[in-house]
This record gives sequence, C-alpha cells and structure tokens, in this order.
Amino acid sequence: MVYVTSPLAVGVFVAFVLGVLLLSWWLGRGAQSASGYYAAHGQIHWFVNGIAFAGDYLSAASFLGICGMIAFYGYDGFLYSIGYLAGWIVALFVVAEPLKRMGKFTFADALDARFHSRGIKLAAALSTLVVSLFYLIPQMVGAGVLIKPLLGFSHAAGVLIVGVVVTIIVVTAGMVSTTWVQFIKGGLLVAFCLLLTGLILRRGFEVPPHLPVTPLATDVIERQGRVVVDPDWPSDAWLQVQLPSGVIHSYRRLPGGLARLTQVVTTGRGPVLVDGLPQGTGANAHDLTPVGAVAALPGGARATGSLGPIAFLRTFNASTIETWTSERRVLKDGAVATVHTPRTQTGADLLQPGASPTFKGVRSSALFDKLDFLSLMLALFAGTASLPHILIRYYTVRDVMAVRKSTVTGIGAIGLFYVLTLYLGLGAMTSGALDVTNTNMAAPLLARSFSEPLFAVISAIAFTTVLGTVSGLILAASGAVVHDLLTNVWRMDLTDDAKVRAGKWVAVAVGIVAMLLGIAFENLNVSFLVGWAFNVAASANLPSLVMLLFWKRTTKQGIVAAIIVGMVSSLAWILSSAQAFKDVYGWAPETAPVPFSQPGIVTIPLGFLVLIVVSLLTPKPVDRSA
Amino acid sequence: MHTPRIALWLFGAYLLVYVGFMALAAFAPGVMAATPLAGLPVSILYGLLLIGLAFVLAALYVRVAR
Repeated sequence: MVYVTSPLAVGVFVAFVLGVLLLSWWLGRGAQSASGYYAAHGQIHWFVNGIAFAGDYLSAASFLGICGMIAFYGYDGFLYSIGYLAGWIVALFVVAEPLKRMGKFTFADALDARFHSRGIKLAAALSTLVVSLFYLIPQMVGAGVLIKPLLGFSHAAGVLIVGVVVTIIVVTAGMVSTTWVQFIKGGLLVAFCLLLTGLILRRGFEVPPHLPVTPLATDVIERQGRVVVDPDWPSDAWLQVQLPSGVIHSYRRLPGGLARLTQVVTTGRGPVLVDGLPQGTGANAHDLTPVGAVAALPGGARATGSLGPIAFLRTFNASTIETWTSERRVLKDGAVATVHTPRTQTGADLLQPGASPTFKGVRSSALFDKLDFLSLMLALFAGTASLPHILIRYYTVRDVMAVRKSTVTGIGAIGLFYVLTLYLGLGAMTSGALDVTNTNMAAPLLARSFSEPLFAVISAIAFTTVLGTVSGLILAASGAVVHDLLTNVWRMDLTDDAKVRAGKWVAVAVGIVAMLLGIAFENLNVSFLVGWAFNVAASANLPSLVMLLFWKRTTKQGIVAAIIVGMVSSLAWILSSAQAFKDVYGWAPETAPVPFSQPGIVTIPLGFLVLIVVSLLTPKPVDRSA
Repeated sequence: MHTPRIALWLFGAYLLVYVGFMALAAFAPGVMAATPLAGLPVSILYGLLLIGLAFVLAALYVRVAR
C-alpha cells in the first residue's frame, strides 16, 4: 500500500526521537567509569530495571511481528508470545541468581568465575558477539520496514537513521541512559497497547456491507466494464474486467457461474502495478484496498457493540472471518503477478495452532513435521535465559533480591503485553485496515483505523522500541569485545578510562556492521530471524550455563567445547535449512540437507552431550572453594 | 553459588505445564479445540494460563525465598 506521510506523524516522530536522545544524554552524563558504562554502577532501582527488562525484551519483532502474525494467521503468533514469556521462568529460577553472584559485567565473567581460563572467555565472548549480531539483523530490518511507510524514506535510509541514533545513545552514555531509554519505551509500549485494546473492545465486531469474499454472478461482473482477454489469465479459471477508470479487476471463477474478486500486484514491468495500473494515488493510478473483516457473526448479527475481554474472544471463536492468501504467478513475459485472494475461515480454526506457514507442520500427521514446531517452542523457552543483552541487565541492580524483584516486574509487564498482543492482533484482523502485502504494518495500521495521532504515536513508540533493543545489543557486544577479549583474553592492561574509550570505538564499529547487515538482509522475514537467534543463543550458551551451576564435574574444556559445538552446529543447521535455501540464497528448498528448519531440538541436547563427554575425558577440576 | 531449592521446584512445576501444552498442541488437536469454559477454546485458556502462571510463580518466589 502507498502510505501518505502526514506532517503530524513526522512531527510526533521527530519530537519523540529528539526527546529520547536529550533525555538519554541528560541521564547518562554522570557515567564515567567502566562499571558505570557497562553496569550503571549496579545502582538501578529494581522497578526501573524491571520495566527496562520489558523495554529490552519487547523488540520490534515482538511488537510488529507478533501483532502482524496474529492479524494474518491467528493463534500461531500467540505461540511466540507464550514461548517468549515462558523463557523468563528459566531466567529467573535457574540462571539469574548464580550469574549475579559470580559475574561482574558480562556473561563470560560469570562462566569463567571458577576456572579463570582464557579459552572460556574467548568462547563466551565469541558466542556473545555472534548471538548479538544475529539478533541485531532483524531489529535493523524492522527499523527499515517501519521508516519506509512512516516517513517515506527508503529502507536503507531507515536503517542508517536507526544505526546513527543508537550509536550516539550508546557512545554518549552507556548503560545508565540505555536503561532509561528502555524504561520509558517499555512503559509507553504497554500503556498504549492497553489504550488500543480498550478501543478495540469498545468498537466490538461489525460485518461490513460489501465484502470481496462474497462471490458475485459472472453476468453481473461482465456488465461492470470491458471483459479482458489475456492468455496469461486463462478464461476457464479467471474473469478479468476493465473498468472505465482503467483498473482491471481479476475474478477467480468458482463453480455455479460465480466468481470472487482478487487483488493483483505485478512486478517486473517497470513500476509496480496494482490491478493493472501503477501503484499510487490519484488519476491513472491505483492502490491496494485495505482488508480484514468479520464475514459473519454468531446468530447472524451485523454488529456486536462494545464487548468485554472474554466476550470478545468468545464471539471471535464463534464467528467467520475473511482472511487472505497469496499466490505467485509467473507471467509469459517474465513479470511476476502476486494474486491476493480472500477466503473465509472460522474463528475457531484461527484460534488453533497450525494456520500459518511457520507452524503448519503441527497439523501434519508425520512426526518429522511436528518436530519443527516442538523445536521452536523449545528454543523460545530456553533462549531467553541465554540472550547476552538480557543477561547483562542482571548486573545493573544492587543485589540478588533486586534481581528477583526486577524479574517479577519484568514478567508482569511483558506478560501483560503478550496478552494484549492477542487483542491487538485479532482486532487488526477484523479492522478493515490491513495491508495485504505487509504483515509487519498490522499494529500501526490498526491504530490508524482509530485516529491519525494514535497512528503517529504508535509508530514513534515502535521506532523507539527498535532504538532500545538495538542499543542494549550493541552495548552487550561492546562489553564482550573490550572486557572479555581485550582485557581478559589478550591480557591488555587498560586503565578504566581506556576501557570506556575502547568500548565506545567498538560500539561504533558494531553499529556500522549492524547497519550494513540490516541493509543487506532487507527481504528476510523479521520474526523468523528472531526465532533463529533464540536457537543459536540457547544452543551455544544454555548447556554450559546450566551444567556449570548443577554439575560439579564440569571442566573448562567441557565448557569451551559445548559453546563452540552448540554455536557452530546450530549456525550450520540454520544455514543449510530449506528456509535459508529459499529465502536467503534463492535455491530450491527441496535440496536442503537438513530435515526441518529449527535446530534447537537437536543442537541444545548436543551441547549438553558434548559438555558431559568432554568433561569426563578431561581431569577433574580442582575445587577452589574447599 | 547455590540456587534456593524452591526455585528448582517451581521451575520443574512450570516445565511440566509447558511440556503439557506442547504435547497437546502437537498430538491432541481435538482437546485444544474443545471449549470447556466461558465458550473459550483450550488453546486460548492454556496460553493465558501459561502467561498468568509465570507471574504467579515468580511473585510467590519473591515472597518465599530469602
């Protein structure tokens, strides 16, 4: 869809970003030492840290990706919500406290507290870098996706803006201001999602009068304009009619002399064509019609009026919804037509797992197809506690009690947000405002269906969401390089000042790499990439974290081997999966060597196995605490 | 660097509930589609339960552990 840039949206957006920058500079002006730069002196209040957890964790993929996925496929998006939240249980009950007691600034510190081994520091720092970069890619791509419709810039410009602003935030102030940016954004995100949910419930459901999914008789269609004869669209399956405006409506023929209207986007013939005319607004141009509607309500009602939170879900479950499918057709001259076709699905079906391409294996009868689903749910559960940018936040508060309290606050805020995503997604699905070509825009477009200022504010919050997460990731990567690699692996003797300076240079370098990756990976699916990052994090970090805490026989060789094997095997699996073949290299997905695309169910146990075998083969560690 | 025992018990309890969810979704779609309470399907009820339970267990832990 063409998005008209409104001066209001731009104004709100610029005010937001400037406000955040100013605030971060003002709050961070006191951070001079290394402990201030990386861990905010351990003096952040637990409540602030808890909401900052939410700000850190609810990335662009959570907000835009999950809402979009629910809006297009229903329950499958909510599966991500459930898995992402459940992961916090692992973080709180298993890894947080020992990590807090053992570490100083980074995850490598904690892993290495017992052994003082350069090998462990090197392996842990490498895995921190790899996971942070992997997690940065979808955030940067998300930034580009957001900027394009909002401000009318190109994808690359969006990525550059985010990269520059974030690098400024990180370089000027470090962890103190990063924490406050995340606090503000986490709080705003939850507050505005609550507001939106209230508006959705007040609006209820309504069946619009003319739905594209309703079939029309072919003789009625033929009277609307001139019937087009085109060998690309054989007349036994298609009926095309050109209206006086020049628009060509393509109808898919159904049995019984009926046909159903589709929307056709054609690329590869110069400008993008929508239903035969260049995409745009005004004369001699045409744009996609916004979609998403209830086709029938229970009892044949036309509208429900306002609904309570439970009645909303119950009514949805008993309704019929118009959803859209897409199909690619290669035309004779090499151009590609994407045909978007409406269909009806029952609400009950949309509230069950397996309606989306990502999770469709769960409905298959073959066990192998189900493994993909089980593997992703396992990776989401185990991945949270292994994300370096989440782990560093355990060093910003004073003691173990503050760790617990801030985690509970975080779980509360994040859990509330994930419950709201269900309402936002289903609300967007029935809002009549969706862009059929772009799932990521569902939440902002839902806001616009209520009011323009709300759209501006939600978009600005989504953008600060990207800023918050990206700055946390860059800081984690910078800590890994300076603290773990320079000081502890290469034994460079740096003063406190030099550490902070080096950290800032590394932050700039990581920022530049992230921008380049964000531009290069423009066409990758954002939420899918995040799932992969969780797989890598869990495979590389979780086995050594858990075994170190609960098995005394663990040796340093075992830890190093588990990190390296977990990281390399999960990366290799992902890079040779059918999804990577199709979306990254453009090769035939059937030729991929691995059977399913989510490695976690294989590579997480593999990491544990390698750790146990290598530990048993190497000499017992000397017990230093005795 | 020991973790309070209660934390591991709470973790085990949650893990069971989570594995139960994965098993139902993968192997018992009929159960997931049933509507036992307030006209809502088990899929939604169980999902909301997992989110609510995480908060309840975490809050309980802060009260109990020292």
